[in-house]
Amino acid sequence: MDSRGFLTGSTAAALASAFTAQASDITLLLDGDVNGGAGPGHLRLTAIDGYIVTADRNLITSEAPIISNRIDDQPFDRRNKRPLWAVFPYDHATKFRSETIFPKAYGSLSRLQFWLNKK
Amino acid sequence: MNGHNRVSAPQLSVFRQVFSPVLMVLLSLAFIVLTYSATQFQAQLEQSRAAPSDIRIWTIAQTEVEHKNLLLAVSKLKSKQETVRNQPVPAIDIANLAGQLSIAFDVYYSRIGVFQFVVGSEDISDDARADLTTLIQERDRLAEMFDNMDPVDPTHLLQFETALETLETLNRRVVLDALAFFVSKAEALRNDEVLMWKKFSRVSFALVMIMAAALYIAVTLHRKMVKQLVQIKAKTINMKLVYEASMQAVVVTDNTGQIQLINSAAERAFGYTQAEAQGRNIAEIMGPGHCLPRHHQGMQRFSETGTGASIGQGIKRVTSLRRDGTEFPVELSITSETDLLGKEIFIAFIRDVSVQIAYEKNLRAARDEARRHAAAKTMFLATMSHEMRTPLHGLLASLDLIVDNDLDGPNLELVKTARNCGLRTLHQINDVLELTQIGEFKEPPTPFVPARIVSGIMDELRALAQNRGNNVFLNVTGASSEEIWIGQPQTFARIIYNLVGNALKFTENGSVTISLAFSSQLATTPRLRVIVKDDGVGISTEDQAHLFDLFYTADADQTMVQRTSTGLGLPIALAGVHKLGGKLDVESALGVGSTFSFEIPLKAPQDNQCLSLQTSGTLQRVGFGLCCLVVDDNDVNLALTAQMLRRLGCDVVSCESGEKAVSAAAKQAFDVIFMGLNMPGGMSGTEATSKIRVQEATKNAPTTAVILALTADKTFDTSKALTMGGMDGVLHKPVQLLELQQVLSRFSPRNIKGAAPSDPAPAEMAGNDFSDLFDLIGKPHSIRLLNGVLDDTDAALKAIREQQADAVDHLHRATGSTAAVGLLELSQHLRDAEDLASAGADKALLALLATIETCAKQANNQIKHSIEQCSI
Repeated sequence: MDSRGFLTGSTAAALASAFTAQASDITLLLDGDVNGGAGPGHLRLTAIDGYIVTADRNLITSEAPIISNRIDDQPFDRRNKRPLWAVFPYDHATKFRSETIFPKAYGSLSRLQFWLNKK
Repeated sequence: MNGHNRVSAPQLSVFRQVFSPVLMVLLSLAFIVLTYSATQFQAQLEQSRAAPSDIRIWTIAQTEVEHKNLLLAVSKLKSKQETVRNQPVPAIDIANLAGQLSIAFDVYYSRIGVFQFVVGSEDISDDARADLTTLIQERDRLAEMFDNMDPVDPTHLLQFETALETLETLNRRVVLDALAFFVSKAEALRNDEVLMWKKFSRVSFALVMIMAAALYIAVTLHRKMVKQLVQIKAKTINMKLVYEASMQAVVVTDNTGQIQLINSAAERAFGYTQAEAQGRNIAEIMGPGHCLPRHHQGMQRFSETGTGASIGQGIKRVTSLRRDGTEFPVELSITSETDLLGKEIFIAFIRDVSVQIAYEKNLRAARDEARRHAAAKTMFLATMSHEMRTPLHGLLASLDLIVDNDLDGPNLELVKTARNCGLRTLHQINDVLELTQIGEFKEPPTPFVPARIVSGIMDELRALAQNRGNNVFLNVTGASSEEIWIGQPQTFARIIYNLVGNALKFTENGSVTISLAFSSQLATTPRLRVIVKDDGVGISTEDQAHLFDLFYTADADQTMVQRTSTGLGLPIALAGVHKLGGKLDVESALGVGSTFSFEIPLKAPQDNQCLSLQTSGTLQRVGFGLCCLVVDDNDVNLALTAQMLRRLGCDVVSCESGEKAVSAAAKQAFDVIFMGLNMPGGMSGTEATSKIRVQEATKNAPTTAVILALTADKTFDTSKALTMGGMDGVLHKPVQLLELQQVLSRFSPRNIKGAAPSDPAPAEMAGNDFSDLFDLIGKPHSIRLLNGVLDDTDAALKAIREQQADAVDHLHRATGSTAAVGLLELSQHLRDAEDLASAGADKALLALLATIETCAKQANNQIKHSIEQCSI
């Protein structure tokens, strides 16, 4: 994820390969490939219990959201948040401490979907 | 620049100074408070928003759902296994269901973890917390069971299901407790928000009110200012109109003299337009070049001291310059003002006075010429009057002689009328002469006693006052009535004489009060205020305007006195007052009386000036402090000489016989003794002198008296006197003041020895009107004396006619009296008669009688006229 707040193809690919080992399923979708109602430049995360987190591209910055696969440098507990956990830096800004952000923080995410912008 | 603008300026500044800051503070305060409360409100709101309430509720509720999902997954797998037992089922389906069960369990496990995270930090009840702990323990136990079981084994599955179902109650209780907690927490939060909102509303309302108040003030202020501005503008326009319409040129400059404004009158007067004049220096374009240095000096001084030669000093006449270079005279008045901006400005009011000055010049020339004419007229009149007086005297004497003859009734009346007319003419001429004299005669500053002069005049006028039934009073305030001052006594006497005489003439059965008020608080310029007040007929307002006109008398034929008045009394008084540096004021009302008043400056005498006090004219008080004895058997002579000596400043003792003189000299040492030589029927003067000298020798007196013989005998001269019983000199009768003065100064005790007085020429008293006598001893004394003379003469004549035995004594007395008052011809005849009587030549004496009678009649008339004249 680059600092301009949207994903480029190469960063998305790097991200995908980094998490392939643990994520059960990472899907990359290109612009125009409308799937599940999400728009271009959006991120969609799906948890193992079927919970879906969508993040508008405006929300995606260099600091948020954080997609983590560890906590305190330790792999997640096998029954807790594994494989990925989307969290927000709540202490950095009050805008992250809102009713719209809290539901977007979710653990046990097993599927990441990106709608990339065409260059 | 004008009063109205000045009135409104402070009001405006009050608004500016008081209301504007208040308004600013109010608005700033409101803004700060509003911002602060809005920030607070926002922060509180955000805090409440930050509460992750909804997602928590969802998370908690989801625990129940996940539990059910887990049960469902178990149930699905169990029913599939039961199906497997009856008919073959692909192993993959079982494995899938087992996988889904594993995911469902993991989700449930994880959900409880999240639940613990969500609730753990909250302040839930101890029971709920205990339940949660139990649930977590049960979950962990369940996880151990799940990890060790074979999902395909129905027994394991059933055990797991049973354990899971057992957990349901606990699970629900925990969820409901947590829900109830969060619901109540959310409610508390909503209540907080409501309170917060209410608080914010209150604060906002208060602020809105403040803003409204501020707005109201601002609007009111604005309206007031607009109104005042309109008023000021209107007034300014009015002022401008007035200023433009002014006939007088007005130039407004700043404090350096730079012109700011000129009005149209100034444009016309100087030939500059407003635009041309603006910004230029007033002195440089409107003042003549030669005045510039003085102008700059004046400006400099004004800026340093605040007082300038021209600024705020009233109207000044200066020369100004037009644009075309011509100079013209103006009246300039400059005032210094402060304009509305607080700057000092000068306003010059300028009036072209060329025409006025031309008029003034013409007027002055006309006045000067009129004055020259008047002076010439006065001179002519004075000369004529003087020349007329001598023949007039002759005319009157001739008329008297005609009256003497027996005339028939009508002719006698005609002659009387002619005599009265002649008398009045003489009077008028005398007054004219006096008037011209008072203007021309330069009287040197002389010591005098004003109160004494006034009392003398009162004495003189007493007959007139009594005649008209008037009382005369004198008040002296501010100084003693004997105080000596330096002034012009003759002029002062003329003024008083005329004012008092005038008051007496116009008052009948009333009173005339003369007040002398000395004010000498300022030692350098003592002043005398004189008021002559009567309660007579008074003067009407119209007549007051002519009061000082020459020959003017009010209502001329009203009374006898007015008919005999020349109308010159007040002009003489007025001229005199002017001469003494005063101003004669009159206040009068018909029937109430008149008050004439004037104030003149006096000088206090130096100490050594006291001795040269003058009582009349150039008369010097040479006898000041001298003790004199006068010895004469003739009453008139005695009184006259004594009075003259008093006027010369002497202390006088009078004796009518030689015996009395000797005894008086025994009691008191005299400086000078005037000894009558011939005193029939008693001790002679020679004998008395000898006795006095013996007394002096016996007493061994340090100084001896100067004894002068007093005689009508012209053959008795000084050399003769020196041989007579210790006499020092001689004084011939009739005694005259000037002579007396010379003799006294010659025989003053300091230089008495060896001094021989030369015989003075006998006095010439032709055409005698006794004015000298009046001047000398005052009219009352003179009248008394003259009456005495008449009595003496009558007695002498009677003695001759009746051939009385003591005729010689009567004749002697009459000879002395007549000589004393200057009736020399009569005196000579009487002396001759006395000689004849003492020789016993009765026939010759009777022959002389007619001549003496004629002469006596003439003298009688003369005296009576004089008395009458002085009573007028």
